[in-house]
Amino acid sequence: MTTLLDIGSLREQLKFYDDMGIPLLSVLKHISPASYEEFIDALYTDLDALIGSLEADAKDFAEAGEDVLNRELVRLLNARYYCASHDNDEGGHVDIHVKAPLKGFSWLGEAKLDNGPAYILSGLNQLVTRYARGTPGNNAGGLLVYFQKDRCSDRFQEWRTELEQDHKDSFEDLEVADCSRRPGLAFESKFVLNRIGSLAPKYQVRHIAVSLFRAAVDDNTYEKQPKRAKRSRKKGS
Amino acid sequence: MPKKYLDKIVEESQRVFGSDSLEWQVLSYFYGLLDKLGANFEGVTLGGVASDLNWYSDRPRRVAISSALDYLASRYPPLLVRRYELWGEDRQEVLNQPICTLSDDDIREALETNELINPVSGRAVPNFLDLVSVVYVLDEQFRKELSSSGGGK
Repeated sequence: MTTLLDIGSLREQLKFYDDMGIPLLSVLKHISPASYEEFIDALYTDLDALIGSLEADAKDFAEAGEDVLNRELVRLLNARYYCASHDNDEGGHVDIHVKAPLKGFSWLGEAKLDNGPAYILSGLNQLVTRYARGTPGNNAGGLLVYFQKDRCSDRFQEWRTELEQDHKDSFEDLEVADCSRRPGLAFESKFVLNRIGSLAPKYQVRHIAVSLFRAAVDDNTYEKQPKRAKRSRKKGS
Repeated sequence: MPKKYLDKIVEESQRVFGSDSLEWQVLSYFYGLLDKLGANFEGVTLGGVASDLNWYSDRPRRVAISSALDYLASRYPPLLVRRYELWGEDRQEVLNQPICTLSDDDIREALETNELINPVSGRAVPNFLDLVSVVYVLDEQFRKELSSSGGGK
């Protein structure tokens, strides 16, 4: 007698996912999110983890261009069950497009290397004027900033300050708030999307700093310094 | 059309996982199976693939099997679709036909509430984890195209 259930049961499926450390329920939340909020919440949790992977390999990306970095993120998202694409035709070419096709949800990401606030602003403008739809289920996006220099959070703060102080008029009814998931390295903004108007919910943009700085340190520097200090103490004693 | 579409998926999946990965080994096995069976391909289960590859007792390899098959099921348009079927309790007698198929949302709700209601009888299904099967089948649109192009050997 056939016993297909022994080998293809839901119980067995759960065991496979337990091995991965990703419960099946969590995978189903990716594939079949109950709401747009849940889709965005799961995406941000995963996006932060994947950005962490990029940052851990900063030595490989310290001189990479935007395109290479975007492709890498999309590749990682695809490997985590997201339906993600790069340079999708979304009224132009958005850098990162993630969707839950069965539910009609989408998230768009524009990414820029840190070439100063004016350049980052051009990315935000691109996102909201060319690509963002702002309709239900398509009401959130992200602005990723790749920092390949040191003091990432300080530089990122400059962008936040400039947005809040100098561009209030460009983004109607702009609200900016901290992001507790990634303190100092992300913040949230909300504003009226011109395409949609003020009666619909504001468009939400999560601004995310990605730290890809690799210090050009001579490996011997740290070893030599303590020895010198030891010697000088001896001389002094 | 399906050949061209499949070639694109093969190329894309190789890029996503890398040609030296365990996931790529799973996908190569799967593409080989598909090439051989074409539209006659019925479906695979995670455990079935693990048995075929003799990977059942190796955890990293089992993980690679789930990652690879779920990748094919979560891309758009999908190549594979997860099909959940509810079978009768006395499954040895009713194996020819499942009671019904269930959706991702049904399974999600069952896992969240730890209860699955049989949509036909309206009663809770005891031991539903053992009575629901999960099979990865070809997306229907892809199967039709494969069928019309005479795919399969």
